[in-house]
Amino acid sequence: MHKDHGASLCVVSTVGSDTGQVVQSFQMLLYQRGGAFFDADANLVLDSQEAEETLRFLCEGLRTGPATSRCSSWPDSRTCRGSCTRRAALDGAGRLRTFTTVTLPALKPVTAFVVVTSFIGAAQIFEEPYLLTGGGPAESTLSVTMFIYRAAFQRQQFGYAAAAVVLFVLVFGLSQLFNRLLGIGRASA
Amino acid sequence: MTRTRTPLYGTLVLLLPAFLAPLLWALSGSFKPRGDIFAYPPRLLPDPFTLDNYQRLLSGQPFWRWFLMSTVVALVATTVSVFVCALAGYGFAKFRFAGRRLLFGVMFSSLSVPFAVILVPLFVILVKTGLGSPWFALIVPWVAPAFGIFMMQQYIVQSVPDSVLEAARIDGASEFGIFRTIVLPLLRPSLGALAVWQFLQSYNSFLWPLVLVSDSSQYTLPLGLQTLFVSEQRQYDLVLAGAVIAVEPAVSLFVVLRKQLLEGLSTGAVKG
Repeated sequence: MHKDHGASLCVVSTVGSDTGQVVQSFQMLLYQRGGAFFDADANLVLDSQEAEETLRFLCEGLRTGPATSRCSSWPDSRTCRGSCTRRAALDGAGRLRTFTTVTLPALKPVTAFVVVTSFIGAAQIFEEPYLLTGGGPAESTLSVTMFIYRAAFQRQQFGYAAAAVVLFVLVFGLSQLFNRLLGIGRASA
Repeated sequence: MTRTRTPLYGTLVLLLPAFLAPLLWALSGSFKPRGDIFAYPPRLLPDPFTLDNYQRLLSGQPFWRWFLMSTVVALVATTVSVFVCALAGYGFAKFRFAGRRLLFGVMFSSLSVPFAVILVPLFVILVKTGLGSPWFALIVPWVAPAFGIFMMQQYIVQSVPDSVLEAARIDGASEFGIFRTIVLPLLRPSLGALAVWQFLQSYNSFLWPLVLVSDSSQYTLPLGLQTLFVSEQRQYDLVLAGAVIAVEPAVSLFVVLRKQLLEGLSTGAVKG
């Protein structure tokens, strides 16, 4: 087909780390071009022009083909482990660029989870202001949890403390906002 | 490989003192007389070296009672809650029953309810029903943490195949027998991780014991150390000595379970 039309047909799959598959497609393309691994005397002839052209075709195909574009569009972290970073490296991306454009997007669901849980955790801070500053000077380091504790257990205003829980509606709303922005619902559903 | 890792190791070496310094400082401070703790310039090695802080802490305060209280409460809470979480997670992961989605939704959204929200109501309920004794109230409300159930459910979905359970059923195993002999052993790594997490939660908890326990002989460790700290003289020397001893149970549990912890966390909760 290559000889007749100057075109090659192939599917290059680099998903996963199956080197055998890559070698196989190389061999297939090499045969299409009339090349081979060995000549009739069993000498290795991989320095032939056909082999070089096949390699170039494979690399070009990787660089321009549809396989690479899957990486840039928020890949699923489970289906894209080592292969995407390797493909990015083949594309000539540096380590930093690989990290920002491939690894970080792939970690997005986990990152979002961490962001929301640590936000909720930090909003409940109690020990540090209670022990270190006691909420002072004046009330400048008074956290919501500390406010509730102070109202209920130091000033005996249980109803007031229970009502202060409304402040956490704000926290809840903000974490919902994070959920929306970071798309957690879709990721963990 | 070694060349590209040099910056990584360099950064880690630079960060190490920052994380280690407070621990070393607590250790060294616990052997110093009170006046020397804030001496300037600060010195890492105590001079004069004294065991006086430990002696006064152990003889003058009910420290071992606090220690015992904290450790026993944390151990009981951990054992019970690991079992309950595994059981609940197994139910959510492998059984279809009416209201399953609703119950799971309720459980899961309780993850985002801050503790301070239920602090006052929970306290009032326990006190009004006469269940406010520390042994009950420090353990029972915490035996089924939503995080633990969720983590177990995730792990069971991933790592316990249906076919194994069906095979056991065909062989005539009882439902609870399946859970005990098949599911629990398969869950070992994540059980270890959950156990360490739950132990630390219980051992470190401060706000709940603070509102609940009023008798100083039933204080937990954080509470006891806090009373030393806020007392008139700010007894830093005793607090540091107590803190050094208090680290012990948590560290030894971590050492015992570290293999399970590392495996369990890398295969566990958030990956789903």
